[in-house]
Amino acid sequence: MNDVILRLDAVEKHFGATPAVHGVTLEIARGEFFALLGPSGCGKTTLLRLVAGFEQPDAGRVVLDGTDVAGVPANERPVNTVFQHYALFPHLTVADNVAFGLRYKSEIRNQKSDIDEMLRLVRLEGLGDRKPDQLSGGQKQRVALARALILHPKVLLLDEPLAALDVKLRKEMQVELKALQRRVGITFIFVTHDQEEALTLADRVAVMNLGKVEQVGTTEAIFERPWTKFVADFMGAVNFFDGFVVRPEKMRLHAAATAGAVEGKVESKVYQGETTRWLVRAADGKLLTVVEQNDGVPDAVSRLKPGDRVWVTWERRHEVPMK
Amino acid sequence: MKHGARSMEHGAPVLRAVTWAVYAFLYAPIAVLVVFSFNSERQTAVWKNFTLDWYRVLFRDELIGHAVANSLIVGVVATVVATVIGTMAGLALARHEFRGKRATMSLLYLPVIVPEIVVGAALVSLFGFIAMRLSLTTVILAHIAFSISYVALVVRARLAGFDRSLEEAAMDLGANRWQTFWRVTMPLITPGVMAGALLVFTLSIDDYIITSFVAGPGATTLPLQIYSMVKTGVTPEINAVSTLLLAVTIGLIAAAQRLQNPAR
Repeated sequence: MNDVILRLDAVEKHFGATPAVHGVTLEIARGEFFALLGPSGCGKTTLLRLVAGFEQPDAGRVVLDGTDVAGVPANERPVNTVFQHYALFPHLTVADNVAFGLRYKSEIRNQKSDIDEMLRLVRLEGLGDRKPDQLSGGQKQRVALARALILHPKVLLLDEPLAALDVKLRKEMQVELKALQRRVGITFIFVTHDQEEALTLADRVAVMNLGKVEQVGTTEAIFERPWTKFVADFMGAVNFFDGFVVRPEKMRLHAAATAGAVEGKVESKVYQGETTRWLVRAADGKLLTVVEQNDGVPDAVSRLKPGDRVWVTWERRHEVPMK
Repeated sequence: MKHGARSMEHGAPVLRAVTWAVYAFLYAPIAVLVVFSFNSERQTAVWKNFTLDWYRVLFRDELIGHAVANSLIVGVVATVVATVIGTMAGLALARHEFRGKRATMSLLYLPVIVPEIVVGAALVSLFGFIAMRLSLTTVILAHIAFSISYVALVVRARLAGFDRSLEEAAMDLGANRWQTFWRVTMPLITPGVMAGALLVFTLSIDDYIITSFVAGPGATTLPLQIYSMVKTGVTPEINAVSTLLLAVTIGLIAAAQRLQNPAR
């Protein structure tokens, strides 16, 4: 990468004896939409806080746009954060929330028009006089974005930005966030535990586990070619065999004996709308997960019930090698 | 369920009667005091006509005027000083881990629990020990001493529900610690601080026991003045001044509660 905006170099952070971030090295390109993905407690939020300046690393370097920011406090870093629960100032209006950081940035002039323009950008025009508790969840989210983006940060950090929203709103905000990032061209780094959200929003993803980065890559690479068992499992590829893994939706079920198939019994089936999720107990005791598309036309497979005999097949090319 | 509801209905008149009896027991003396402050008869036991004469007498009474002035000086100075120190103590307790924090908290609760008579006796012997002459200053110092705890406890309670990410957000947006404190922390804890201040003023304005120990000559506060007047017999004038004190106290308590529960 020739245009690196943020480089993490063997970053370490311990809380007491437990390492929260352990030897993390990452490079993030200018203008990238980057996801830190992992289960709770994997260190992704600590990593974000190290970049924001709320925590200082025990070892390693955080290099922002070519400058080592070791020891630089949060208020002096050209980085802004959208907090998980937005952290809007309840005693200030929307406009005053958005304007909050401007007075500490002397180079930004013409504040009033800046604020109006920013409110328009996040579709909050006319709501500048409201107080945060008069806003919906999605509107609060947009105020938090406006408040940070108005300062033109080199990197915008987002901590579980959509976790506090309900499902429908979350889908809408995903689209909006992605479009907003393209429009402003600022590097976004967001933390999430939701693999689907990471895939939808990000250009590249770092999957974290126990304070370490397990794999960094494009969303497609992470999804289709996981390097480690943890990544495969976290991305939903749960059918592990000796030396390889197969994703559930790449497997097919058959109601009759098929050449090269693994024979088993239906343990359970869960109808999920677009798909049905089957658990099959193979003859050797292994539990396989198979996801079949529903086409609405009942056939021999869709009529199978728990306890019925079933045959599972997959193609060799869908086997992802794994130690 | 139905049976229970019916038996509650049967009990309702009794419950109501008991409730009114309790209220009468609590408030009848106060009602008598207030009513008789408007009585034109000097004899406090007999009602004659409505009058505001006693309030007029009151405002011309130099001794009472002096006592009110003393009480206001003590109240205002003690409130300001105790609120500042108590707020800082509350912040330190809510925000920081330090050696002896638990002990500090217990010590802070102590003035709230210790009998006033003990505090008064202790203070008077302390002032004696450091050879400080009793005066209005010793009254102020005493009031500050017993008030700090109340402010610290109220402010600490207010900070218990404080979202720390608000302060991080302020720093993230470029404010340093000092700017963050004045633009975010302080505005949000102000209702708690004000409630603490009003509480302190209320405690100070009607404290008798501790004040009676530490007041020097000429440092008579209003409660001390009222008590000394009562010794020579209850007059409508005392009823009037007590009524005013009551009104001020109720007003301040109501304001303090309003500030602590701004929901309504």
